[in-house]
This record gives sequence, structure tokens and C-alpha cells, in this order.
Amino acid sequence: MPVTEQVVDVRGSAVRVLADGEGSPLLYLHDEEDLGEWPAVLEGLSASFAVVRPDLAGFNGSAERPGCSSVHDLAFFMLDVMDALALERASVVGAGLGGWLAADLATIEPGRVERLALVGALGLRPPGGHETDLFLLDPVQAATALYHTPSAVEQAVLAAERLAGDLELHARYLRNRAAMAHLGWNPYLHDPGLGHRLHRIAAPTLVVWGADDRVVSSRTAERYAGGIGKARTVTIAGTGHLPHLEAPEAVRAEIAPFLAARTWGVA
Amino acid sequence: MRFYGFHLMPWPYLDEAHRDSGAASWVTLSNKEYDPVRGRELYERYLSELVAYDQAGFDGVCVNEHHQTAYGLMPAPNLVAATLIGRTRGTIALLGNAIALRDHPLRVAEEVAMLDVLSNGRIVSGFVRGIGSEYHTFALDPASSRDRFHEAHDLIVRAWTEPGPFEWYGEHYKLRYVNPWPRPIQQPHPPIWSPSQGSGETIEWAAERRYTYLQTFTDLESLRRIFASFKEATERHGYAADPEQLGWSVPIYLAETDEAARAGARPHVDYLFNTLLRMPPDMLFPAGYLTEASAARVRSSRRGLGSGRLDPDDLMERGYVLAGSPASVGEALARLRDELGFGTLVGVLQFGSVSHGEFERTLSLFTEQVMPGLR
Repeated sequence: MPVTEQVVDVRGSAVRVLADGEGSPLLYLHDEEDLGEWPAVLEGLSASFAVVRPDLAGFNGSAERPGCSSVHDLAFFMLDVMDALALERASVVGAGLGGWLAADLATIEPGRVERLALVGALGLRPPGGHETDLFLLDPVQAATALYHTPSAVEQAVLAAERLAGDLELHARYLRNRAAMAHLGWNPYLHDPGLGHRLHRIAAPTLVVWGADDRVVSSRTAERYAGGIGKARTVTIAGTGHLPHLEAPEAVRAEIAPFLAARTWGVA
Repeated sequence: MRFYGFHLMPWPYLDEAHRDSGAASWVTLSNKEYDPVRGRELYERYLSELVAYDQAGFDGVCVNEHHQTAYGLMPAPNLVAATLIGRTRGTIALLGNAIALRDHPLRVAEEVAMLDVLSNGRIVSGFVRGIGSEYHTFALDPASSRDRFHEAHDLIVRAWTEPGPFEWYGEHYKLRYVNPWPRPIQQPHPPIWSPSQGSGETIEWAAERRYTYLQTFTDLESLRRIFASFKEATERHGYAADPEQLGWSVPIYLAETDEAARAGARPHVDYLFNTLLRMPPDMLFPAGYLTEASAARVRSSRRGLGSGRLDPDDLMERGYVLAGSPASVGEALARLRDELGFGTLVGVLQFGSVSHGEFERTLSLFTEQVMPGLR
């Protein structure tokens, strides 16, 4: 079945939503580099899940949401989006910025999250601080900071160069960057309050990290897992900050059985 | 025409290795490069140069605000202005206070009112947003900067003009009592200038409020276009721009002949544009700092200031810097004044690594041979 696209009105704000598949509901919250696509990691998951992938407010095809100036604000709005999509309870997968959002959302209404998978999630300050400042990097420099394997870097650099030649895509990139700045400029890519709320998360959680993440070091995975409690961490070798894009099969191989498990501990 | 002398207070001691490294001279350039002993000597010299403008017959002197950079050693323009009050007779123009960077704009309202009273009404109050790099410096969301600027401006002007106390509950600033003591001595408030690099939004904003629009660092082609859009904007708002409302800030270097001036200016132009102004694009224009329209314009011009290596001769040719004999520069300025109708000239006679001797030569040639013909 092809991916469907619709624009939903959520309490007065337009939200673009991609969806595919049938089965238990699965909400996918995209990363900060996402330009509105259906990522490869979701291929195959739609065989057993009804996957819903909204554009976050202010990103890609979704309108800015007035009054949303933090990821915490955005989490309340994402609960509104879930209401509008009749997602009473869903498993949630979030990558990067989306991982931060997923974790925050699960602290607000723990009962609405069936299972939670965080991939290279922003939101916590890594032990020792952040290595790179994403906001100082142009798209080509960012490509080399975000990915690990030479071939993935090369592909990302090519994509960044294509971006410079595509007016519409470049405008979308700039708009997304502005939305990201609004959410993550200060404190840089984290919320000092989040760590104090993580214990509220009730869902079994899988924390997935790229072994060579230079944006948020993989040691941050332990902070998430420690804060949440009912969590297990998995490191994906040979990947950087975006393992779900750099090694989608490897990430899916971890996530799919975790989401499908009925009880904790069954892989 | 009215003449103002501007000083940027640059750090002149960065070497060619730094220039050729391509590393930024803002935000991340380590302050271990700054030597306070040499810094003290520089302040003394630069302050004397500001005083010299006033003594030589300029209508005013100008200071500005920049942060964490070798480009300018003036993070606090109001402090510099305070030291100038007793040493000058003319206008002191703050070009400007970067109000959106302040924790609280009410502090700017207070400080500028103090300066206005202390100087007996000699203050021009410029307001700027702060350049993109300064949003990195203060970890302020650049996507909110335009809104912060507008709200800070509105709050300051209201604090100067409306009897307090009153409440202010804006998006960015929240105050139970706005009631600054002292109030400005100039009524209703000190003249407000809007220094800018030419953004369409700023032109519109300044024209609507009848402020003086000051164009900084630009080539003549852009200057023509920008002044034309400012005049159009004033007409849209129902009035014809006063010539003094159009200001041009430009580095000037004079010598006896055009050849000598160009040769003399070349290394300083190189230092200003290729060393001091150097920073990566995402430092200069951080995410969300520009509106979508401005971002598209910047993108189409590609090679703006701060990016690739710029040729000093080309910069002088295009009018980013006026270098020549007094006769040539005087003629060029008279022609541009007549063509563009601007009545405020802000000369930067010390820029980059220009020495004190060169500054003094340009100043005396300018006041003796250029200024009288333009007055």
C-alpha cells in the first residue's frame, strides 16, 4: 500500500501527516534533519503496524504552532495531534529531536505510550557536554558531523550540495533550521528538566544509539535508560547521530521485534 | 550635509596565519589573542581619535556595540559614550545599542536617558538587533530576534515618553512597573537612528517611524537601490525623506594622490574585510535570523561579506571604501550626494589596521579639503 499524505487541522493548526500500513498504531516522530520524507527505517514496519508520521509543528508541511517555544510545549501539542488522529494509545518511535519529543510526551501522559523507542535522542546533556555545535555548521559540514561511514558521509554531502541547488528544498531546510533554533538554541539541544521527569515514563523503552554519535555522545543512552528505569540500550556499530538513516536495516532489526513483543523482555 | 566620525575600535594585531586559516574572528577566536596591556594603549589611542573628530569640526562622533570579536573592542558603547561626554562638544551617536541582546531593554532606556541628561541632550540613540554571531555569543534564539528587537524598541520608546509607572506584559519582557528615572532631556526622546546592512524589513520599519536610516558596509550599486527603497517607503508613509534621514557609513582613506591612497589603504581594507569580518555563513546568519525573503536574497548573492576572500582593489572600486586624494573623494561624495540625496555622512577614518598617523593625515585632509566643499 502506498504512503498516504493528508493535512489535518489540529486545534487550528495545519499538520501534515504521512501514514502507511495496518495493525497496532505506531507514531513516528522525525529527526531534526528530516525534510518531510518517509524514511527507509519505516519500510517493513508498515507490514505489521499502522504507522503515522506527522511533520512536527514548524517543520516541513506543518504550520508553526503559536505559543510553542520549547520541546515541552511541542509535546503537549503532539498529544493534541494524537487526539486529532484518534491515537488513544500508540507505540512511539522518535529519532533525534523526535526522540526528545517522544520522551517528553511519555512523561506527560505515560498511559498513552504502549512501547517507546528512542533513536539518538536529543534532550539530555551528554556526559562531558556536546562535542559539536550543529548551529555553526553549513549543510555540507553537517553531513560530515552527522554520519560515520565514509559512504554515508559521501551520500550526505552530495545531498547537501543538491540542497543548495534546489530553491524549494533549500527554503524548507532554512525554515526547519529556524524551527529547530527556536526549540533547541538555549539550552543547546536539551532540557535540564527532562531528566527529572523521565521516571514517569511507564512504557517499556528501547534506547538505540549510534556508536559514533558526535552530536550527542552514545554515553547519553545510559542517562536515558537510567532515568527511565524500564529501558534497555542498544548501540548500532558504524553509525553516527542518525543510525536510522545510516543503517536502517540494523535499526529496524532491533526496533521491530521490540515493538512486536507483548511482554517486557521478549525480543 | 552633516558629518560624523565613527570608530569601530578594531584589534589590529591578528596575523596572516589567522587570516589564511579561514577561522572566524568572532565568537570562537580565543581571547588569549587579546593582550590587555596593548588593549589599554589602544583604548587610549582610539578615544583620542574620537575626540579628534570632534575637535576637527565633525558634527558628532559615533560608537557601536559588538561582542566577542577582534572586529571591535566595544561591547559596551554606553560606557565609551560616558567617557566622551566631558571630552567632546558635539553629538555622541550610539550606533547602536543592540537592544535585542539585552536581558532587559529597560536597562538601555535608563542608560541612554542618563547619557542624554549627562550630555545635556547630545545623544543620538541608534538601535540594532545585534549581528547573527551575537546570537551565538549570548545563546539567544535567532529565530526570535526580530520580535525581541521590535518589542524592546517599543518598550524603550514608551518608557521614555509615557509617564510611569505602567505595566508591560509582552511576549519577551514582562514588567509590573515601568518607571525609569531619569528621563531623557531631549523631548520627546533622543533622535533614533536605524543602522542596517540593507534589509527590506528594517528600511520599512525606519521609514514608517521617520528615523534616520544608516547604511553600513555597502557597495555603491546597493547604496543606490537601498536609498531609493527608503525614499519610496517614506512616500508610502506620506512624507518625503529629509536628506539627513539618509545616512551612509563608509571607511575613508586619504593621501596626496589617488595612487598613494589606494596603495596605503590596501592592507587595511584587506585586514578589515578578510580578517576582521571573517566568519562562516552559519555564524553570520544563524538559523532563523533572516526572514525567508532576506534569506533568499542572501542566498542568491552567495558571496557576501564574511565568506570568500575579497579583493581590496575591487572593494575600493565598488565603493565599500573611499580611498583617494581629497579632490577625488570630495568630487565622488558631492556627486553621490547630489545623485542619492543623502545628508548624513558617517566617516570611518580609522578602520582595520590604519595607524594613528594615517588617521591623522586622513582627518586633516578631510576637514581641510573635503568637508568645506560639501557643507
